[in-house]
Amino acid sequence: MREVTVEITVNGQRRPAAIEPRLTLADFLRERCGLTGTHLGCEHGVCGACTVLLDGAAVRACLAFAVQADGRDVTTIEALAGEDGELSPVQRAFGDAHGLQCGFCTPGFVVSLTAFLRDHPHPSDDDLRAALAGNLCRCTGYQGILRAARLAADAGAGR
Amino acid sequence: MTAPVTGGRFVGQRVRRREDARFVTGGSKYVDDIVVPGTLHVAFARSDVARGTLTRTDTAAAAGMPGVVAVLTAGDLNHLVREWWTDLEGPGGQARPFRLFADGDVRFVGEPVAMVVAGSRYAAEDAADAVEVDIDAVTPVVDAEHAADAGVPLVHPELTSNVLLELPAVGNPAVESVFASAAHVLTETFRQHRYACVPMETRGILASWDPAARQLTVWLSTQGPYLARGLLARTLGIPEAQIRVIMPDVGGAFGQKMFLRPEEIAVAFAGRRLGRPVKWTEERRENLLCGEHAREDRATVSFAVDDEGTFLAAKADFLESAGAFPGAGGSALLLTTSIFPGPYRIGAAAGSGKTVYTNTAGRGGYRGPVDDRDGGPGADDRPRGDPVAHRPARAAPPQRRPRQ
Repeated sequence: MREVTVEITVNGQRRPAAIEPRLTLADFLRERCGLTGTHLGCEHGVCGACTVLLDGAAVRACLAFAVQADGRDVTTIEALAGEDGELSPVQRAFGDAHGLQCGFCTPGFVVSLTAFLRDHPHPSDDDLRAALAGNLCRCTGYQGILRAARLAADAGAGR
Repeated sequence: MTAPVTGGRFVGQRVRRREDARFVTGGSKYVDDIVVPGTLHVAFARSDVARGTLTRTDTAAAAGMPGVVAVLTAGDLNHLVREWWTDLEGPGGQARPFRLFADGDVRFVGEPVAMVVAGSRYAAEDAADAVEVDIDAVTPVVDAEHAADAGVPLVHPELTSNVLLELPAVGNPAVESVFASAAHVLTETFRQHRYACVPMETRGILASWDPAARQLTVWLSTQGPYLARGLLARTLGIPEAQIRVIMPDVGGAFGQKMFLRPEEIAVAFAGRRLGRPVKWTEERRENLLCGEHAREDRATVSFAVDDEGTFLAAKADFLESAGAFPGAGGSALLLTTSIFPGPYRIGAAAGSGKTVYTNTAGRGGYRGPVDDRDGGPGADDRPRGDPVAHRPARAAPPQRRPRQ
């Protein structure tokens, strides 16, 4: 299949690449960039495990083609902690509130919540529930995740 | 007054999990995240009907597609499987049928017909779509209640019946005499539908064969690396000491990753045959279709009770659909018939049951196989108005419960 040339900025680094137009953004990140924190749980936009930020907006990397990110900024779970490794308030809250067990869905939740709290720094519990309704978890149960979201919001994650 | 229970550093304390830091930063490593240079990728071509004659499998077009290294079918690999029993079963255990690929016929929707091994997952999936499979479909056996009836075709024509396991009701006199004299006998039938375990991470395996050392290294999404190593050793016919199974982070399992399915074993065979690392990551559709299902059973539970509602005796009869090729946990009868009294104080109990083959995806493990049992006390309580209140009084007394 004919390849096209793109340049995508991933976590602040420019990534020029020749890719097939059908390559998903998720596979570009995982296979071309080695950023395997973006997980594929369903590959059809249902589970949210592959959520990344595209120019700041939370998107499903399994439903986006890499060519759609040409010339744009992508932020993945790997870039949310501080340069010194200090966890972001959202990342810390998931550990503190037992918002994860097997960890497979966790990057999607953390990225979704990070984007949401940036835009809605004072959410109600219902707001948080609605914001995370697009992400599926199988083992933890959602109460711990909602507690983590509350904790992160109260810690000022979006402010 | 007794002192409060303390557990030193842990019980009653908030304990930070050691693994959380890597999970929240994207640093975790599941099988699909593991990169071995030169790895080939697998996609399966599968049956889209539950039962039928496989009249033609043409892999020529697929084999000629860009990036394709091999297309393997029953004729390439099935005969190489040496033994396929698990440690749980032992060599004299349940003689369930097993095969890597459909051969001559198909027996459930999703049964693998061919595997494509290619330089990329995209190339493998393209070629899997190009495998031409012709099947003369016939009516499948799907109803467990009637699977063992006379005249129903055999799910496995090489066997003599559709019954995998039968534990007949033996008419234990201690139980029957209580039933005969009890004030009341309550009987209820409960059915559980088929379950899919649906771990967030689907099944996956990366198998790397070192021809010089004759050493197989396997990264596997599993609940039991030693079970997997034993089964791989027996299927491949090599000593366990030459196999290393590495269990990286696992994205949920719920019973589905207890035992290897044919796909994972086929990947190990492909790795050995090709002498290159081979990876397969199950698609969600495959996982739902035939990653291994659970439950689909019926329990008929009878309780003999006195006028106070005391359980004098109980009987349970189970029926399970094992699918066509169940995993080692394919029949839970030995478990369900023995543990169904659960936490209740029951004078005498007897269990019986039957597990049958059907043209459906293989049955496997799933947590808590005896959900039905609480229906018994529930049925008994219904006339009294409160299905919960009477249960504690009927539970086994403290001295008969597990304790520290």
